[in-house]
Amino acid sequence: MNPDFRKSMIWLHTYSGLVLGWLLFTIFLTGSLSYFNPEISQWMKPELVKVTSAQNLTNQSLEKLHKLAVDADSWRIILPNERTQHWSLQWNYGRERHNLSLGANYDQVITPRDTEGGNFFRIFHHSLQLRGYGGRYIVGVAAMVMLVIVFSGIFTHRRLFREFFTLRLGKLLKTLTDFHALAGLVTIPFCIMICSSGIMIYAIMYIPFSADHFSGGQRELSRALSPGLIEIDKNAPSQIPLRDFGVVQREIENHWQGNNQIRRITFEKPFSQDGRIVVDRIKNLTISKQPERLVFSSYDGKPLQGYVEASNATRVRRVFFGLHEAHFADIRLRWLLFLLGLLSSTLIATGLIIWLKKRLIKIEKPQLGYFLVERLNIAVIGGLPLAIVAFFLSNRLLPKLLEDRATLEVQVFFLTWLVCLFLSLFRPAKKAWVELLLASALGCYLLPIIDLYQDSERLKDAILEVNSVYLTFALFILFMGFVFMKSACWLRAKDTAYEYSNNGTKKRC
Amino acid sequence: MQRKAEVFFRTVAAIIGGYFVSAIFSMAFVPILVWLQWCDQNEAVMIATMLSYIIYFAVIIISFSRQSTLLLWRDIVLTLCIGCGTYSAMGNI
Amino acid sequence: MLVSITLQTFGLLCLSLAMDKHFKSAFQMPLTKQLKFLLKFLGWFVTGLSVCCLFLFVQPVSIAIVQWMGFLSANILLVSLIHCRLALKTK
Repeated sequence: MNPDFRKSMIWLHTYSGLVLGWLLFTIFLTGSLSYFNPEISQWMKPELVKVTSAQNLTNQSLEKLHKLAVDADSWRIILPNERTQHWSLQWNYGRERHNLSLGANYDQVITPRDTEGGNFFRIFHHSLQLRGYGGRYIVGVAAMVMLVIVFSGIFTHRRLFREFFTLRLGKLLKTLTDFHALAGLVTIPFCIMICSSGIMIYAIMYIPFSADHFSGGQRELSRALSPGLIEIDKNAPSQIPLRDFGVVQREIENHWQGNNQIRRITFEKPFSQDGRIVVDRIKNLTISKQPERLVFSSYDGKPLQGYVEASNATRVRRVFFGLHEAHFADIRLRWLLFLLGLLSSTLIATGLIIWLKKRLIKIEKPQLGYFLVERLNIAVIGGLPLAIVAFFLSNRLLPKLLEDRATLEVQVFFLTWLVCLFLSLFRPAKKAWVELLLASALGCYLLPIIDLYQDSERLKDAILEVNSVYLTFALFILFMGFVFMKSACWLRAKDTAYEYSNNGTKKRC
Repeated sequence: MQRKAEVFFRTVAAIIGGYFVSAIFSMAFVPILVWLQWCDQNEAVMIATMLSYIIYFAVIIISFSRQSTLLLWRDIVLTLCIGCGTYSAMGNI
Repeated sequence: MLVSITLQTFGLLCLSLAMDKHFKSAFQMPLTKQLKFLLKFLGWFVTGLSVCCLFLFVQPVSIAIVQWMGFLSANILLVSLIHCRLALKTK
């Protein structure tokens, strides 16, 4: 192709980066937000109360379930933890599902507003809201291409690795290139880990031929490699499940050391003599996606035979999955991963901007291709943060009891993004950048103010209880607002005139 | 024009050729693993599929760094044939 | 864990200074062979120590290793920024 390896890698880096850069920016940014999925959900449901201080959660849950969910097909008790602060019960009769969120005080029922919460970012990140339409395939392609980009990037910017690191703040292009190289170097291990673990999550789905041919299908393969529990006997006589969880609790304490080890308790067919209780351990003790589980009988709490140990290959895949989701990470590591994710997103963004600038310097007259790239840069890099801020704003501003509220919030997200696209198409380039950044800054500043206006008690309670989630979110959003504002001012002051080489000084600003 | 054609063929080799090579690897490697008695068949399917992504990555890089496009395609077709051959010969074990 | 990460920072700093170009920009003196050997040895030794520290902790080793790798990225950034500062100071 090109005379030497390095030149081919440069070409590959440039063009694969261009084709998928915007998609990758979106995936990395929403993915970074997904690290704080429960915390964001907690902020978006201010009706939640601190429940981790409550006592005797399981027995209280059982009492409620005995009253409300007689003869149900399954019960589920989701115990709260520091990150979610959400104690909920779920039960279903066939396809009919019910749920209930409980508060710390006895018999207190809370109704958090209907919202996707942080989970929206996680779902958007891996399926692009195209769940049934192949979104996960697109994301998989993006992950593979990102690996290629990172690899070829090492060769493209190799000179800068060995050289001494300066951040030349004089000219915009030099600053961006230096930042791109530095951010790239720092995030190489992170990006490689994320992209390869991301691909491994859906490994069998992307290349299914082997599974289809040898194992008769993807589901059959999963079932063979990590078998579930034996089927519950449908004809077993009915039986009321236990009321006191203490028997099971003592058994659990023998196996699992530490306090508050239970994340979730599922009763499968609780009203059958053959029914069983599956207890899931908390997620942050293992790198694997699958935490430990213990199985008990649902009417007398006797331990039953548990899950069969999964095969080695499945465990490897689960470790990949676990590394990607990082549930094991404590607060420090989680912030570090989040910041690395943000750094990777800015890496991609600066790469796209550098691509454009380098070419705009050289061309003689405006071309459609470069026009498109420029507008897409503005729409995606400038628009996505604004759409996210709008999503948070809609959470606070939409009426609490509105029908289909969760879907509406998501629609606000997409509508805002669409508006940004129009803005980027019809406004001059630099003005569009500055306006989008200023709008994001404004949105960020408005959020805590609206919050305070809606319920002044919230902030006071948060400070008194030291609700770190609420306070950190507010502080971080203010900080982001400041960052956006500073960037907008800095950009406005910068001379980003594009000079066309033949026509003298035709400025575009 | 020649450059554009070259880029096109290399891209096809990388994306589609790579996909087929890794797919055939995921199928052909299974009977090899089973024959070597390293694991049972289902686990071999999982291992072969996960490893095939490394092959895919390698094919993409090679597609854009190999000097001659013709030789690149020859090698891809050759690999596919070897893969199919291995699979047919050992697939029923 | 903090001990391990601090050791890692120090180790990386030594290793980076063991490179001719970086040493020159930082201290304006040429890097002698003995000093280079000393810095390389010290750098690898301290990094090795920080890895050993991982095994002394309560949390599962696998999680500790991931934490170490994560902080490696942060330390690379920190060391780069330290180099920036050093060079700007001696200019």
